[in-house]
Amino acid sequence: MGGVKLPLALAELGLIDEYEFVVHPRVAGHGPTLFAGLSKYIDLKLVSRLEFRSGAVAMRYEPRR
Amino acid sequence: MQARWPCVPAGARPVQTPDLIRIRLGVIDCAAAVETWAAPRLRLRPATVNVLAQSIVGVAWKNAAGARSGSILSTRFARPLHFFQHFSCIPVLEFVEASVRRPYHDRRSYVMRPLRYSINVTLDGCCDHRVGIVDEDLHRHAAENLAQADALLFWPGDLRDDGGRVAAAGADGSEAGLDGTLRPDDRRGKEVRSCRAPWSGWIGTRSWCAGIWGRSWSSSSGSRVRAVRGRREAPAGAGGAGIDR
Repeated sequence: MGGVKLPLALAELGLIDEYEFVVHPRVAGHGPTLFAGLSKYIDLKLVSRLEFRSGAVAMRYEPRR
Repeated sequence: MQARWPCVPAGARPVQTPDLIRIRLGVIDCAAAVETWAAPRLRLRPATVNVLAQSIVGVAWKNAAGARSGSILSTRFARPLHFFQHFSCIPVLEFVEASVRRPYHDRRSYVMRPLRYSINVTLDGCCDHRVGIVDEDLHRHAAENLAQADALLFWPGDLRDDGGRVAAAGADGSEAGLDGTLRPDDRRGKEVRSCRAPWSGWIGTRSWCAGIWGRSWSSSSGSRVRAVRGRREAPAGAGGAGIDR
């Protein structure tokens, strides 16, 4: 799944079981930002981490419940 | 009259609204089941079908171990309970089975699959998909993610069209598809199917939801019925992509 609006709604409702952020080694200097407008913090627990040759890192998190 | 509804597994306790909403992802398909399965058998008029489809509500439960499961329940519509005496839950769950899995021997009880959200993001948190680095590894990783998914969830506003990575839904949200490089698995014959959420105010806004389901799904009801039959008859692991991992 990608995109921003639906994940925001799903995250608000606590429906996402696993978050994967693929962090690219680049600074954009602009938005859109992830989960902009989230009404509460979501605490996550790192479950796996994968590094790519490009320097990108894919990190998988589960919500702490 | 309500003998079989709801079906609650032993040790289950009701959970809060989010889970209810979650299984509503399956309710979309219940509406399709009403349309394609119940309507011809019960000779329902289109208006009745509409009301009926909107009246089916899924309820999610948590068992003692915290595993989620769901039952399909029809409560919202006061009068048509007599319909549901004829309306075996099995065909409904044939549809729901695309997104959930059976936890108990009870055929009316299902576990929701985990929902994974994957996004590319820059170091400073920008998630514009045009900003990210494109290379073979990342591309393969994304393709693997898609290949592992039994179903994909899209929101029409999020569907992308630039770069040909993910094709956009039509303006009316009626059809959408993956094309080109990130097609999850051609052998599965997945295609995107979109449905009108049968209620308004779903997750805060009137919305459309599109999912990629198993093969043979399409917007015509005849082929949906065939798809259900095929799903029922297909041996496990062959052509059942989208149901079992």
